[in-house]
Amino acid sequence: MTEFDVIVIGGGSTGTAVARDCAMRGLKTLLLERDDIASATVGTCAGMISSGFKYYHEPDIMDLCSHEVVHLKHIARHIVAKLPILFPLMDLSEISSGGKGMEEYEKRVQERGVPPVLILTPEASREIEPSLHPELIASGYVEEFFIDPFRLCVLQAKDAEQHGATIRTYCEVTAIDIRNGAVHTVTYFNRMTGTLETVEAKVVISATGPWASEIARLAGISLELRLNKGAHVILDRRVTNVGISTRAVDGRWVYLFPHENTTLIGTTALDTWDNPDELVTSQDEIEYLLRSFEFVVPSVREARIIRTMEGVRPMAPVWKVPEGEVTRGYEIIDHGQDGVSGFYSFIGGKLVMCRHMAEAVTDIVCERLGVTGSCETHIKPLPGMSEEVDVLMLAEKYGVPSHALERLKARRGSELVEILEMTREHPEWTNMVCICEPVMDAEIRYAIRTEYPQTLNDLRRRVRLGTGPCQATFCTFKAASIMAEELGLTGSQTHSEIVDYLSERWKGKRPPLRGAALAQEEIVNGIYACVGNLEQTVIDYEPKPWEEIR
Amino acid sequence: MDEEEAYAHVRNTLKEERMMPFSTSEMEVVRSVGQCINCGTCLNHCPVTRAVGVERFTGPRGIAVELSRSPPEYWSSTDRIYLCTGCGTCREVCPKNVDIPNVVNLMRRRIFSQRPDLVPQSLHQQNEILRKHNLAFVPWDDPDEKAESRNMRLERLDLPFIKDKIRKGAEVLFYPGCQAEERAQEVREAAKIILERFNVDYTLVEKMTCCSLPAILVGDMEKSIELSTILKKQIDDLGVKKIVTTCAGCTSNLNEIAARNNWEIPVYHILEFLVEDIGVHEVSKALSPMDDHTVRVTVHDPCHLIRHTSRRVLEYAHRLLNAIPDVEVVESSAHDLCCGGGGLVGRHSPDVSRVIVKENIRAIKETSAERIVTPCPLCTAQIEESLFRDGSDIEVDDLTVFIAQSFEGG
Amino acid sequence: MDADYDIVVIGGGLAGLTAGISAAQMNANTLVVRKGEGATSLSSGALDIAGYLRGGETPFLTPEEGVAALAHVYPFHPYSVLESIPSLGLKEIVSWLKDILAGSPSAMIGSHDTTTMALTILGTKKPTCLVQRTMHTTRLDNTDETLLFAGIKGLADFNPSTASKALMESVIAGETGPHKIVHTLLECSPFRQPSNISPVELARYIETEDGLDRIIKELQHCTEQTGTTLIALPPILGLVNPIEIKKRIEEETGTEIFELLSFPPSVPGYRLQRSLEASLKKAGGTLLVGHEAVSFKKQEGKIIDITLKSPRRTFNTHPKSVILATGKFVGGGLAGNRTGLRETVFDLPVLDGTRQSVQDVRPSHLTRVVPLHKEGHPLFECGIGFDTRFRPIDVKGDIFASNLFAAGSVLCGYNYPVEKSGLGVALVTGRICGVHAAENVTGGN
Ligand SMILES: Cc1cc2nc3c(=O)[nH]c(=O)nc-3n(C[C@H](O)[C@H](O)[C@H](O)COP(=O)(O)OP(=O)(O)OC[C@H]3O[C@@H](n4cnc5c(N)ncnc54)[C@H](O)[C@@H]3O)c2cc1C
Ligand SMILES: Cc1cc2nc3c(=O)[nH]c(=O)nc-3n(C[C@H](O)[C@H](O)[C@H](O)COP(=O)(O)OP(=O)(O)OC[C@H]3O[C@@H](n4cnc5c(N)ncnc54)[C@H](O)[C@@H]3O)c2cc1C
Ligand code: SF4
Ligand code: SF4
Repeated sequence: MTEFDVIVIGGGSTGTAVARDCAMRGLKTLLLERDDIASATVGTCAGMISSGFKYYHEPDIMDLCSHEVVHLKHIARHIVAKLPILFPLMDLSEISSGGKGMEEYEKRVQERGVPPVLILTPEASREIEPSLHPELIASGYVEEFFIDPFRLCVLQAKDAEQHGATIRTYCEVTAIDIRNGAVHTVTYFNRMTGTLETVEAKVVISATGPWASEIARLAGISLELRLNKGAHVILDRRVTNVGISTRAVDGRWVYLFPHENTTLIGTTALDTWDNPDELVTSQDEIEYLLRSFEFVVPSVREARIIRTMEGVRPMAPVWKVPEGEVTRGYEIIDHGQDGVSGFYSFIGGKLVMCRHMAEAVTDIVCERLGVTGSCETHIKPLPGMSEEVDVLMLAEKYGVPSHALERLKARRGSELVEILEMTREHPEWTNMVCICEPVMDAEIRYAIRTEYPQTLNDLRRRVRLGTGPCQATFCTFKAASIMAEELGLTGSQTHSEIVDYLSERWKGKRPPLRGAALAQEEIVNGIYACVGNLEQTVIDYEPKPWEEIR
Repeated sequence: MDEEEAYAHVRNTLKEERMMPFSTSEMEVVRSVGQCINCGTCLNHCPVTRAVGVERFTGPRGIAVELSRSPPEYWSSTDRIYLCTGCGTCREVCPKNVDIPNVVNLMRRRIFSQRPDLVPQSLHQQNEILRKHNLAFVPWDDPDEKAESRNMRLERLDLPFIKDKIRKGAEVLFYPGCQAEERAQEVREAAKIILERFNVDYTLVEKMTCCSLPAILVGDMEKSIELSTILKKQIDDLGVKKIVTTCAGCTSNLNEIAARNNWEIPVYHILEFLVEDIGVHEVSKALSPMDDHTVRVTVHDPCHLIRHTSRRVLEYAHRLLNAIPDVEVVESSAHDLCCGGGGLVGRHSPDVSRVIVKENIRAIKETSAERIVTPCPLCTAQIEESLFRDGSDIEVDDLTVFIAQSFEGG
Repeated sequence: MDADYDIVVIGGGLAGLTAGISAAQMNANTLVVRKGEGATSLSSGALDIAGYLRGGETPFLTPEEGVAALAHVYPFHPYSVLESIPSLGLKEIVSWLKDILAGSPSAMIGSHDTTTMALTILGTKKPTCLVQRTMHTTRLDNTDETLLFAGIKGLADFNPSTASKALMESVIAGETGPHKIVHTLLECSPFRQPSNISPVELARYIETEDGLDRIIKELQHCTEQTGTTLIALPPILGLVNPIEIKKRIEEETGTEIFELLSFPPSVPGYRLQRSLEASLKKAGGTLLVGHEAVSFKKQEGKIIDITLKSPRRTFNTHPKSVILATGKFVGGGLAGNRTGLRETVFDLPVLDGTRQSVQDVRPSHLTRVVPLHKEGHPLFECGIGFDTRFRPIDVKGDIFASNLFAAGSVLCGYNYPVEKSGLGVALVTGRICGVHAAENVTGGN
């Protein structure tokens, strides 16, 4: 039986960050993820690495967030972008409520190189964003940063791998064995091979977000979390240039952020006790977001909605306060206190803190294992971040459209050169498979070869396949064939893969179905049912968790 | 920081991040593009993808679902976006009538203001002329030479010269457009002949200025607004009730500007004026056989008329041609294909423009027509040049000139 | 300036064009107006009539049987009207269409009494009725053929390896088919560029001497090596002369070739659309593109005025009969927001397959939780209701206007993606409406 120093359960932002730190400090590390890297909570978040503006009542959290932004900019500049954000104010009462927050915010702007909160006249505000309500009285202005959450996780995992860690996706932990009051082995079900495998570990870290209670239960421990569902509505393109943040119908803060080539409107907050895998955005959530934005952007409903997306915040078990008031800090639970030493769980936290969370837990682990050496995750860059990439030059050199390269660069930084190199031998791999984003054949193959995707949905997380306006109408069958070539799938497996990805996309397309999306769905059905006849061909379709319950 | 400084800071950040807000009318275009369902119908028809392939141009679908989605990255579309001729073919076949030509202009606008270094040099040169002269062409230095050129053209066509009229309070403004003003002067003259013939109460502008279309295509928003403002002022000063033009581009552009700015002055192509205001019957009374034999003509439909205005304008063209005795109209299979002359493509990628027009030339030759007519001096020039390069002896006429020529005793 | 026509057909897909051709053939002065192209251009170009019952798993033996079954099981199915019009039977309509298209690039093969199982680019098969001549083969069921799936390098739309694997697996599983199946990628780039080749580019390229030579050489090379007897190509055999091109390649390679059913952008869809437009012209009808019907006037139970709008002009027509053939969501005949569905020109009530109003039903409620389902999404059964003469009905169930007819996918009551009845219903209803409308005009004179 293989023995590891550390087994990290969970391949979200937290788990991948932990695996990276552990591996960098020389620990023999295994990461087990039951699905794909970034397949759960982190993949549904906005990717805002925020200064913690909303959490001014927790100054230490604001400090932490702000420092982490600086670190992330340092290690992953190629996947970090700046976004100006307006806070349109419709009446005076809204101004007065921001005082304390502004003060706290301004203390920390310098390290991030952004201005303090600026106040703009109504005219200036509408000049910057003409779609704002004509009767606004002023607006606040800040600058925040965003990171691509999928890429962050994958890069952390890849970097961990480069430092010697083993990354196993589609391996679901099913048992944790305890011997002499300490963790001993971890058993997982390998979904790709259909087998149960057991490995020994000195330390087990549960970075399983909303599933932390379930993992703890495997070790016979009860761990309470407060789970809170958050949903987004996604628009087809950048409909505004700047981000907009406002108070929702119930006074919470909601935002509309241009994000990659789309716009995110979010988020809702609903305490939930459902299985996170079964959750789908509700009509009320969609309406809540649109209605809230109508106050400040009256035309918001005219935009094209391409889908919804939902996730679950794994918050600390703080009750009887609104979601917004629950601490954004994280906690590392040492289950030694529950009689299982060497077992640690995370609760709370945010994307922006993932590196910090990893550092903290790795410090504890190193101490336990008697390993010296200090954390370097904030110093050493993630893969793909080297010198500036000259998109126009490379476009010319490799005969690829410059916009496609600009998008590729946004995902991969300097890694894009390796992908372009692949097209030397196979010039036809410059085919744009997903036209919307766009994603070329070579990038798909590169991702399959180096970033362990098993399904088209995994590919989406690596390369944004099928995330544009047509929501994978036209790339699914093309990408499935490429995957079949790379992974040696049979014809019927390829067909199943197509239906599988259509299902995943349908999950988010269905709740907000309206407008242009109706015609888009007619095409989907025209292609895959009317012509492709796949509803008759694919007979071993297994319903998804969210499909079974309805 | 006070509000003034704050605004200055924000503007600066937006500039750095290459962000430029969408105006309300631009928002309409953005919403139209948001209707794209990626079906690719447009790809089957776009003249540029036909000529050079999707690999080189990306095509209207790519513009809708890819290039136009993220404004901060518009600069990176410069290897594609200047290849669109703005013909509107895509919009016309598109199930959702996605407004590609206007989103292309919107993108060019942003590139011009944020990355002028990436705007093709030839477009800058074009724009310099516009900035300097308020005309799309460098005007004649010497008025006498200009007159001489005009006279030569009229002589060759056997058309009389009528003195310019500038008259406040006239009913109709005849607006020739830059091409007919500076180059194809015969078109301008022919229009005057026609208007005189039917006793139309018309005037010309005091000082000819461009309709602003080239500035829009380059992306120079400031200049385009300036030009349309100058023109509007002249129109107001003259107090006309109607504008008539002989240029397809001017027709559609002025219509668009008039609609957007609530000019409330209709703009017509002279063909529309002839059919709707004068009447085919009335016109036909003035027409006589042109030659001693039947003339076989074929027609080229300018994009700015059929796709940006209405296909019916060309129906009118046919009605008028059919009214001319001894004219036989034969249809070219490419009669409504873009000739590659639009969007300033001919300026910066003449190679592309030349491949596009090949199909038109092939089809024209196939018709066995001895003459091709088209109601636009710019299309006339593009086709004339291409036929010449092809070594063809098919004659090319602007339709306005052709009609004037067929007037009895004209 | 106004224009006068006996009949105005709103919509220029298969339904509208069929209606227009039918009316024009009966000497009615007919205008077909369309604002864009619709689903017809996106179709695979094979004309389905009836493949399955909703939820069914066995294809109908014949389209005729299918039409009868659909009409029987779903009393509100557009096919149920056929019974009441003996003069316009399925057989007559199918052969009428074949006549119309004979000699055109999309000349059709097949008949109302045979279901054809056509092969798609995914390597799946689907039941259809008429296929374009270039898509036709009878040899797919021969076990001793060597079938070559030939893709084109740089054409992402078709991956021959997937198709050949899928077909081989079905043969291994016991279906009849060639026992030898191979696949290849041909080098045939219209612009000498390695990638992002679109099907229509290839179709145009193959119509040049250069392109045809190229593909023939490539295919010859490959057939020699593999002993191929039958070749499956993506549908790229030209826009204008595909049938001659097919013959040429067959002669030069000594094989039979056929085009697979494919997805948009579709070359056979393009051919079909253009061929029908040419037929309309030939029949004496007028096609006006780039105009949208935006409003109408009704007087004494009749439509008396239709307003048509282009980018910069608007004009009115005063037809004696009007045919609404605006298609579904793709065509633009139906639209929907979060609260429900509506018809876009006359604001007719939109009904589901059981004729319940869906005016106030949220579109997502008309769908199933899985993306593809044998029963289909009820959403695609929605459309406008009609009487036995295909006249739309209003909220009360009465005829909306005595001179308004409707055809094609704007109608309710059928679920084409799963029934495989798309172009078939458009054809049948278009033909019937065209004839009725023309009769209405002559009767009104
Ligand atoms: C709507 C929404 C918006 C948000 N926006 C932001 C934001 O803008 N900025 C920000 O900083 N934070 C944001 N957050 C919070 C942030 O997304 C999360 O706190 C963070 O991403 C959690 O990451 P994680 O790795 O801990 O959890 P997850 O991403 O959920 O990862 C846990 C992983 O564990 C795996 N797992 C579970 N059980 C097992 C098992 N038995 N065996 C193996 N693996 C298992 C799961 O598959 C999953 O991949 C948002 C959250 C939500 C819901
Ligand atoms: C991707 C896809 C593939 C398909 N493949 C097949 C296949 O292989 N075989 C098959 O049998 N069926 C197929 N179908 C179904 C079939 O294409 C349609 O059901 C059929 O084409 C419908 O024809 P139609 O004439 O009713 O509508 P459409 O073809 O959609 O035509 C509607 C027309 O109305 C016009 N219009 C709409 N509103 C207005 C207005 N206000 N004013 C003026 N014009 C207007 C539109 O511009 C368009 O020209 C497919 C469908 C899709 C989406
Ligand atoms: S622009 Fe129109 S025709 Fe082109 S892909 Fe989009 S919807 Fe289809
Ligand atoms: S406007 Fe003309 S050239 Fe431009 S994308 Fe559309 S069809 Fe092509």
